Amino acid sequence: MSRQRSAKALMARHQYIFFIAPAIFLVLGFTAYPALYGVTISFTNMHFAYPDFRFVGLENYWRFISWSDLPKVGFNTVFFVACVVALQLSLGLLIALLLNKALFGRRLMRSVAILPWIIPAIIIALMFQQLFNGSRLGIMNALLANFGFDTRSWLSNPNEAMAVMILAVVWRGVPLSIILQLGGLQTIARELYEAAAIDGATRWQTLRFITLPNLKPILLINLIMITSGTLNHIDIPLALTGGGPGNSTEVLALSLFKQGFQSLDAAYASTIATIILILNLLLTIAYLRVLRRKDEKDD
Amino acid sequence: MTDLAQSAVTRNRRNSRWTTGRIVETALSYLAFAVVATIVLFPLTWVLLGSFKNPSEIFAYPPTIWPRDFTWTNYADVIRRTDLPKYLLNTTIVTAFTLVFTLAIGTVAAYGFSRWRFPFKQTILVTLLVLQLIPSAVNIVPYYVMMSWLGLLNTHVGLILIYTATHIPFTIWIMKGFFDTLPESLDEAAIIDGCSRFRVFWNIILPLSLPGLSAAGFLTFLAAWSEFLVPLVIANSREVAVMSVGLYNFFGIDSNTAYHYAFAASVMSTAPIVIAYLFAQEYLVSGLTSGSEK
Repeated sequence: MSRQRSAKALMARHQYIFFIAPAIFLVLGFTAYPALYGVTISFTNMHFAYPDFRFVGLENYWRFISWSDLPKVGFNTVFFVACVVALQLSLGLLIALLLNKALFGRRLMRSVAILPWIIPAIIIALMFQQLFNGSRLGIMNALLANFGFDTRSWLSNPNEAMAVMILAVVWRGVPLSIILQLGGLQTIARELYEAAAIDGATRWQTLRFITLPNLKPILLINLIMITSGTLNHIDIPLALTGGGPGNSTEVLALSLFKQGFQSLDAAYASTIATIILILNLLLTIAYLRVLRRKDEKDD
Repeated sequence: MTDLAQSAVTRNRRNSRWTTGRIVETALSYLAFAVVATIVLFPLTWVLLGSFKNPSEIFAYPPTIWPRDFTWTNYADVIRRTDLPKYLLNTTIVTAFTLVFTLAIGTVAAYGFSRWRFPFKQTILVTLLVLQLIPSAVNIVPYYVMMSWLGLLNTHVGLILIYTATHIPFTIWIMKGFFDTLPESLDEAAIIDGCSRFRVFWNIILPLSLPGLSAAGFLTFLAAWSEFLVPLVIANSREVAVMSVGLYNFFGIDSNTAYHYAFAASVMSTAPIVIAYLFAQEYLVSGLTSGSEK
């Protein structure tokens, strides 16, 4: 009897296993396992066109370092990520500050500002392709013609193509910054502002000494999220420019896709993936550090 | 900006503070917002209006913004002459199954994390969060190889498996945040009445968590409906292609030929999300923040 009861108690205490096990297995199987498996592929010469492959050590990594496109792709990646991060973070902050004002119609404004976030990447790519259509039929060319600009073939010129790509990614990404930073702004205690107002602080001083310092953890988290999100982003570059013209908009994540599924070089694609994974890991460590520091402060 | 301060202070002596400075500031804020709204809404409106233009108007110079006459031709053509209806059906199937499995497995796990204390709980939760951060770009080559082992290339099952697994972690975080706010005395009372743990979860806790469920459900729906890279690689045959893959192959980089279909096709592919967004919006912000505050 008592044994039965203790068995039952034991069951009750460990019942959680049945609740969490399916989730854990699925998540491990389809996120952690492929990530590790990808790392092992990078040490082989796996190719989608050939059945056999063998261990080749660091060969793919040497190939990567001496890759003739690396300077171009590396520069593109850094430039792309830096521009997107700078624009997305600052525009997100400005709009969040705007939406945090006690204005009539604020909820409607918030819904509008967040709208690009829900549009699928493929649709955004198609849309920007048409907006920046290179002929005089393109609506951007038509609008700019009103101001005396010449027709530009946007996506056929290296610099313009990069600019349009950044614009498209930022257009879609700003809402996430807004959501995060608006949430951050709303956690700042009102008393701080009241105290500042009593002390006769100017608006600039309040922003500089109360809003920004208190928003710093959220800004940092946002910075890290945008950096990794942009670094890993393939959808819009692939569907909008495909890396072209030439390789002028080819970023590292897109090279991964092209090597793997156009050149079918699975091993080389996995090498690039591993390098991206390491960059992500560093960003994640930074993310967790910020979170921990934030928690300590909250407690 | 310092509006919080402003509103906090002015609340006490409202009406007395409508100075010129404040009026100018409010006007500038609305102006700034008008700029934001234009940048957001112009491209979307242009696509929406474009979908109602006659093909001849789309290809005419100078380009128009407002259609000269509204027509449903483009929609009729997309439905009759392209495979988009099939792609949308495929997307619906994949999204629906993903939604059901993700919410089922994710909320059950979230309940486990919320109601039991066990070793390494926090570590497991953080690990889930970190695993969530592994981008599909990194896993795309292994996904292809794994799906070919499992014989699931060019199937919906393969997509549903991957989508479900990758959307479970944030579902757990959001739902655990919600369950944590519900008192455990609810569970205990029901258990004393002889309910099993699962019944407690299903009949008592879950119905109380509708806001969280809507938020997690909407995020899963959004991600599954829009996913592009994974289906492009592991399910790109015409029969199983989802919306994004279909649109990419159909209106890919070099084909400006089907230009006039693109507007209508884009509208049809985005409408379900916008509709879902309108419904989920209420819960979305509260659901998101409760998850992140933990």
